[in-house]
Amino acid sequence: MPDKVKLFGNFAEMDDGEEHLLIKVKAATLNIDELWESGSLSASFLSSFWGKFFPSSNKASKAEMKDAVRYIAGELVGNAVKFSHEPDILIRIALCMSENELHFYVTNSVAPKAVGEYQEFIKKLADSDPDELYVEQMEKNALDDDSDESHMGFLTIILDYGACLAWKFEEHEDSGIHIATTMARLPVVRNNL
Amino acid sequence: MQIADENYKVSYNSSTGTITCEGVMDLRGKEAYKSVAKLFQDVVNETPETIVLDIRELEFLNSSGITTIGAGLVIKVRKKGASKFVVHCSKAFPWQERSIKGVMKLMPTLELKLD
Repeated sequence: MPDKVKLFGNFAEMDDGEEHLLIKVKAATLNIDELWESGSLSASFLSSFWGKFFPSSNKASKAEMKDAVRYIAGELVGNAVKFSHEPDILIRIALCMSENELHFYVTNSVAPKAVGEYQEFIKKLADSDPDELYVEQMEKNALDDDSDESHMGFLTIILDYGACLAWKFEEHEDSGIHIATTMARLPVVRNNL
Repeated sequence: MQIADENYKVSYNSSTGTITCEGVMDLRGKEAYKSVAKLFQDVVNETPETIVLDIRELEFLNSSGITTIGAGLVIKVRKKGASKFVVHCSKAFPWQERSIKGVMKLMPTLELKLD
């Protein structure tokens, strides 16, 4: 059990009893390029699966679902790969259907010194108008070619896909390990069932 | 001008002012898009009358790629103020319209062409 838990946004625990897809990757077994590629392949597999079996006879909505899952899963897993700190902690990617939402859960370790900055950005996301923040971040990116962080992943998930984001941070004091779970809720409209 | 990799290709035709992106672009961070950003900058410096960004065959683009288009091309074209800018998208990949409508916030005169 973690010693401290901090939630941001409307976080709900995953219901393991519900049907879901789960992929776990051990960071220690791969180098960063391989880990990035495995994240990309995982997102691609999840999107092909949901695109294929999404309960709709409407071809356009299946294509939209496939695209959305590919993008959101890809961004969340990409973040997990970037932030992952403890080589033996598994990166976990899960997708599950809940009422009229598709839920994404991505869990990874975070370096203790990176937790503060991560949470500050989450607070900035919550306190800002996302359209204004989008323009602000893009203008900043246009001026600063040297920074490797665009900070556009979460923003585009919210703005371009209409998804809501939430986070759970767990701190284990004895081991000094910090675990972050990012949850995305994607509204699902099922046409022509 | 052309950049080709196992999964994607970016090319520029100076006689038509068209930049074409094809394939899957899922590179790791902004740093990995540096050569693409350099190609974009070269095109902006050429100041063609109209710049067309054709992404109809681009199956996937991650947020670092969207940032490279937004910050590395759209904002730079807008600031230079010398070229008309058109983005050519396909309905086959719904992400294209979503992402480009987002990028239009940076340059409202940007024209979106949808096949």
